[in-house]
Amino acid sequence: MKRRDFIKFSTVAGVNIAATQWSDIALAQDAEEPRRGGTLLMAIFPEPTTLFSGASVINQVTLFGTKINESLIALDFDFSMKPMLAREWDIAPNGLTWRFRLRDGVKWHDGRVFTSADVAFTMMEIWKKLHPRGIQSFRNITAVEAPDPGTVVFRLAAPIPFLRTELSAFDATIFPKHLYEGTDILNNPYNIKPIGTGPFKFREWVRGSHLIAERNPDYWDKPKPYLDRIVFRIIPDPAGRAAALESQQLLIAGPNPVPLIDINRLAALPHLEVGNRGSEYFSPMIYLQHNLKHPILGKVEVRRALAHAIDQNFVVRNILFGRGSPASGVVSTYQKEAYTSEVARYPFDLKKAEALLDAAGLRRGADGVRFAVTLDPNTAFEQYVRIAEYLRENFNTIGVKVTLRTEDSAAWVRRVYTNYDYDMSIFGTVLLADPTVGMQRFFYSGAISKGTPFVNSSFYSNKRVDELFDLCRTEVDTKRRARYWHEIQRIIQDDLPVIAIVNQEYTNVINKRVRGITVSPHSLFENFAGVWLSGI
Amino acid sequence: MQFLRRFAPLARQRLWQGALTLAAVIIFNFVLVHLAPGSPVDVLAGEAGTSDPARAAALIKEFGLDKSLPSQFLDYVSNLGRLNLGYSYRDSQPVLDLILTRLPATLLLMTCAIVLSLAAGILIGVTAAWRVNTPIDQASSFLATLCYATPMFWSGLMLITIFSVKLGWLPSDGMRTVTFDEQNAFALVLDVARHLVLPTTSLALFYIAIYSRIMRASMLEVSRLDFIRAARARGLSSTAVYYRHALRNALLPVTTMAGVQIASMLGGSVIVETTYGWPGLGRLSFEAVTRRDYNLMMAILLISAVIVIVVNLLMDVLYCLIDPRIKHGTEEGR
Repeated sequence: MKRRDFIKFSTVAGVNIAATQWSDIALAQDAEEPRRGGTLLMAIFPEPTTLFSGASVINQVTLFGTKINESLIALDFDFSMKPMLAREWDIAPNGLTWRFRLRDGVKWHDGRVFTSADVAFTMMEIWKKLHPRGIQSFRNITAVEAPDPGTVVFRLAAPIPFLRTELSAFDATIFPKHLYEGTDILNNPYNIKPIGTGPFKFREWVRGSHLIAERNPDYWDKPKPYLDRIVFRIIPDPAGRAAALESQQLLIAGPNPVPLIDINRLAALPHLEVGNRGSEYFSPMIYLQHNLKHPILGKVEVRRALAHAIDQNFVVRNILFGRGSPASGVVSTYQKEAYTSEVARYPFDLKKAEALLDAAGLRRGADGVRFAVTLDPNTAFEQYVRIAEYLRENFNTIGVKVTLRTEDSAAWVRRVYTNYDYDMSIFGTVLLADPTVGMQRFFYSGAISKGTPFVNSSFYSNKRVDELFDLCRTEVDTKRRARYWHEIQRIIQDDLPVIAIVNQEYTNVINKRVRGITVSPHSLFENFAGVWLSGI
Repeated sequence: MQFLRRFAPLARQRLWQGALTLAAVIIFNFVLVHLAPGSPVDVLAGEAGTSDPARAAALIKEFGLDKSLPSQFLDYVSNLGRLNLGYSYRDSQPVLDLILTRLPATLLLMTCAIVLSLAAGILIGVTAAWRVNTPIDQASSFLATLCYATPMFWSGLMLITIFSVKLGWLPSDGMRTVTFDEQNAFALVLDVARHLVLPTTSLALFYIAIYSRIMRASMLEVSRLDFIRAARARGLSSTAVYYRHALRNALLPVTTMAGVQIASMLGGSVIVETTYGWPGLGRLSFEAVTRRDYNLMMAILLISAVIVIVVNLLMDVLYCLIDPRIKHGTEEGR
């Protein structure tokens, strides 16, 4: 049932082909008996600098950390809660008290017993103080009680409608109180040799070469884990990763491990599978953001004209090589509870774009140019630069002269989020499961914060939108909350501080011998307890 | 003893120049590194795709970036005075530890590449000069031009495609296979050697081309000189003349070139180490730049400068050994 829902939903998202293949494989896998043993060779890139995911939301840190440390709950594909370290829970109708019963017999890798004190400590001292998203997400959790070792109670000042998705492993893995209490947490020695309750134990980190996580024989969910160990190989070069996947020196890599131009070639190889299933949690999108303080881009008619000059299908076909879909607005299609398609559309129409610019009083000069702007793509991923190049050509044809500036990522962050020295900026972002956590920061006027990357730096400020974001932060009625989200999308799609170009996909490249990967919307950011290798 | 007496003034002069160079390098590094827009905090937030103002402020304080640049410079210099290269906040490790774990891999790769390129370059150059204007000479010229013109990353990728992906003979990345069984020393050496083949070849190809051309020209030039004619006139066999007299004298330009290139190989290894996932210093320095890890960047630049200075000194010693006529800073006419 759930799988069918997923297929239906992903067809909407325009990823039907990949999804169907994946579900076929998943069904075939269900029929097979898992095997014990083997080493999973997995790519990690770039090399992480810490293994402490309590204060970092960098992908590589979480990729390794989720195998070692676990969360209270897991998520199903529909974002409903599944037991993990908590085996059952009880949420008060007003949403202000969350009571969890913890699993018995869970031990830390150093042999100490896992208790509710660990959960309370992690929430109050790590997530609420140090975790870049947790600081915001858990703000309304005012107290955590541990009445007995097997029970933990969260007390909230106001409801947090997105608490369940935020408590899953991507943002909230639990750390041992006995090793962190009373220490300088950010410089704790266990940050580079983590101790958790997970199916795999930290074994070694050879800098520049690899990380090893080995099987935890005392894992609470027997007979899991099936693998003997996971070797995370640090392969910095995308072409090197593609070669290693092709020659089976690497069995799994993601998200987006190889240049998109290579992805369909790899997908055609008999031993490899390329897919997006199990990445529903992340909602990646690519935005074109305007600096509203720019005298010309500050006019809404101009931004609408530019929106008409973007062929989203071209971008999906020729730059993403089919690994994405056109975006209708600033909320991702993966954010099912919030998404609506009923917003203003700006179909690709160069004539209309020119007419709108003429009407705005921006006529072509003698040299055919209406006005000139700069465009700064984030160079972290190649596709953003390719899209910027495409936009430059398109905008040039309607008389908007675009100068492309490509700097490295650090310089781009400084330019767009500290110096505000830009006209238009292109970047990809993950909006995560809930828009309050992942999307609000780009549009809420209170999120304008000089020097803070990936927040509102377009200077968009709309009273009604701010009001709606505030309502969404605490509204627990799903239907009413959805209505607020729909209104937000309609207003932003009229104002266009940001033109959402495409919904991206998080592609993973996986050797067909690897089974049991796709068990949740976290994809590779799962604990891998159920992963096994066939045909060893 | 005589050699030492001859060499001492030169060493004194070079050490003094080296110290001055190092001081200039330290100042220049600091300025250059801090000129790059964006800070380590920007990079951290950029990688995470999200951040919190309070966390960013805390990080800026922790990294010491809230102080003024002059006071950061004074801190840096006083740390250097105590032989402390600083701390990499990114990697939560002292910079020196990070560099020392990476240095052996780079030294191994560089040594192999230098030995291979010198051996092959000299051999090809000598053979080409020996058989000048024959098909052998022309073939070696063609190959040298090809190797010289091929970008390192491309030859790297092609070698991987052929020997790793298509033929499956050699591993495409890393320095050794990650294994869990007890490995005897012989197996370990063999394993590392297998991993070394492709990166060494990529790195060496370019230099083989250069050395073979220089060696050829130099051999041709030397073999026209009077002392060669004199040696022949004394009735020595042509092989003896060629290898004992001509070769030794023709080696000098290649030695000079090798000295210069050991330094530039540090730069070339950035590309090769990235292509082959080789856990060396070149890759570390590239990552340090993109991550704005100031302390690490400055330490690597400083250590590279020290290596260049030391290598130059060693080259001077080598000149003295190869050509006994060379004295302190002056070269007496032949």
